[in-house]
Amino acid sequence: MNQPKNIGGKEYAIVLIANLIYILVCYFLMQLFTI
Amino acid sequence: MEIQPNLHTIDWIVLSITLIFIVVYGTYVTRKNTNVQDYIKGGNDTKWWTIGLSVMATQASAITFLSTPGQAFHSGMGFVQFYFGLPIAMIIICIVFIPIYHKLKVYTAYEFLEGRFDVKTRTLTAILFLIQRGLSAGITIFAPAIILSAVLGWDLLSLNIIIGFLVIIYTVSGGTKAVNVTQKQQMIIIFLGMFIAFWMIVNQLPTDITFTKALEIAGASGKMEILDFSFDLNNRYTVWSGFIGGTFLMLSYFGTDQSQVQRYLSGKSVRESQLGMVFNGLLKVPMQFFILLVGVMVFVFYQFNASPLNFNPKANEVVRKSSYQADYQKLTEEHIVIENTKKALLADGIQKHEVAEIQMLNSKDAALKDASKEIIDKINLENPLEKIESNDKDYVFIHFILNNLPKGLIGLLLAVILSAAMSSTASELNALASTTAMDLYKRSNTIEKSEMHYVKASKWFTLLWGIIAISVACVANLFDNLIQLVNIIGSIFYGNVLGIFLLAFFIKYVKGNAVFIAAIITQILIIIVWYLDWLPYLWLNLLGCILVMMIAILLQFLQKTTDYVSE
Repeated sequence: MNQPKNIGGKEYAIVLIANLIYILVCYFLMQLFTI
Repeated sequence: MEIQPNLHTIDWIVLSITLIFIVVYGTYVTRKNTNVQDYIKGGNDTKWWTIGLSVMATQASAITFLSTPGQAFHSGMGFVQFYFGLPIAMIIICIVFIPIYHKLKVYTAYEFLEGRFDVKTRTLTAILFLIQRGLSAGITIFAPAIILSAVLGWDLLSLNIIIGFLVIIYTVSGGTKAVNVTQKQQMIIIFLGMFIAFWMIVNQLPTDITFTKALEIAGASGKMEILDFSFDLNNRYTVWSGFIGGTFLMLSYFGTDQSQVQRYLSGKSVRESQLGMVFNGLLKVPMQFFILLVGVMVFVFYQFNASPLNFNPKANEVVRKSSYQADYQKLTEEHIVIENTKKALLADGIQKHEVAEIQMLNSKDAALKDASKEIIDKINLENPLEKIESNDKDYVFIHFILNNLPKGLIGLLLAVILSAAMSSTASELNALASTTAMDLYKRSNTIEKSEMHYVKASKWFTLLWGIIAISVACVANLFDNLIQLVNIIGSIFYGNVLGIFLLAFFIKYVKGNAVFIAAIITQILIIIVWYLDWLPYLWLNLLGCILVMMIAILLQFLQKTTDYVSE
């Protein structure tokens, strides 16, 4: 099967969601450990 | 800390074997380059993971590994926000930049501008790139060299020449393919070294201090203030400056800087190049977070172990010989008292009622450190020819490495730092040579020359830029924080160049003459704004980009109106 020429929305969505999760992790770590 | 001129033999062996292996392997496997396609675009057969690692290795210089943990040690994890715009920039580059570059089969990003505008715009952007990247390449070598020479007592000049020379060997010989191949190995060394270092730091904390307790101690000292949502322009790293300023900076760096463009132009297909960039977009923020966390753990480690008042050993040495010796000694004694008090307080982790006291002790210690910096600055004023860096951010991590890691691992961590310096410098020399060869030399050549001629020319240009970079490194002077120095140079030129590219991609209405004049006016204005310090440097990107676009559109409009009137 030929691969599509360009990557699609799925890959971009993964990048955006993953980075959103990173920022949320930062936020929770900050809440948890900043006194 | 004393200067440590003698590394253990095991460290020398680990360091030398690692670096020599990379240079020899890179040179050997890429020795056959028969055409320009091979030399500049790596034969267009690079896989996505190689592109991804190569892009990351290009951006992460030795400064990243020396300065970033020091940044976290002093100011906490907030610097991670600087990278929040990167994933957005990666997606824009995947959608807009990569397909067009591949379709037009360009060798450099600037070549695309000739087709869209004219040769003078191509030449101008190529020259702006050469100035900025030529200087940065020098700093990429100089930054680790000055730190390692201060800490290890190595000769600065020799170190500059050795780093530069090692890079020149494989970059001249194998071009882009050699840069890609070696960067893969360098990234493996870097990841391995940093993970082991992190593990060692956490292991060397007192037995009662778990990882969670360590984070609580860091949090009580303000090191876990990761996100800053304020709109204050004077705060250098906020969520907003990261998202807005960072997106523009990363877009210009990855989309228009040939040292990065060349990495993904070597991709086997559009898809491979895009996947390489997506890979970078996924890993960059966690990678920076991890390096900052290493710095935070070093901070916690020094809550239980003695640390110098200033981590720069040269500064301590100079003060000891000066008339301020007694004052400095007094500050050091007070610092030791504070350290011991904190150590006793934190022995079983931090309790809520101890936070206020710890914060008070931290601010007292910070005041002592400021006072020590003032002493160093006074000595600098008295002796301006031999200025000593009073900001010790860049020396924190290396101090930890040299004094607390076992033999062999010190050699590995030094290999990490030098590998990072070499990988960034290799991409820079490779891109400087390609731009000089294709955008200036080949473009101005009226007589047709053979492929081999341009391969040879590119090799000579790589050598020439290598020598220029070493020369810049040899005359550079350290000021403020090194990581920021490189970013400031970038911000002065990047916004303008990005604006030109955005006009090229999105605003068909604007033509060559308007863009060229707008670019020159913008560059002058940005240098004035920077010189008068009207804006924090991260915002210069955005300003440069908006200015060049607005001026170009305005000029095009005026030109159209004049044409219409004269008709």
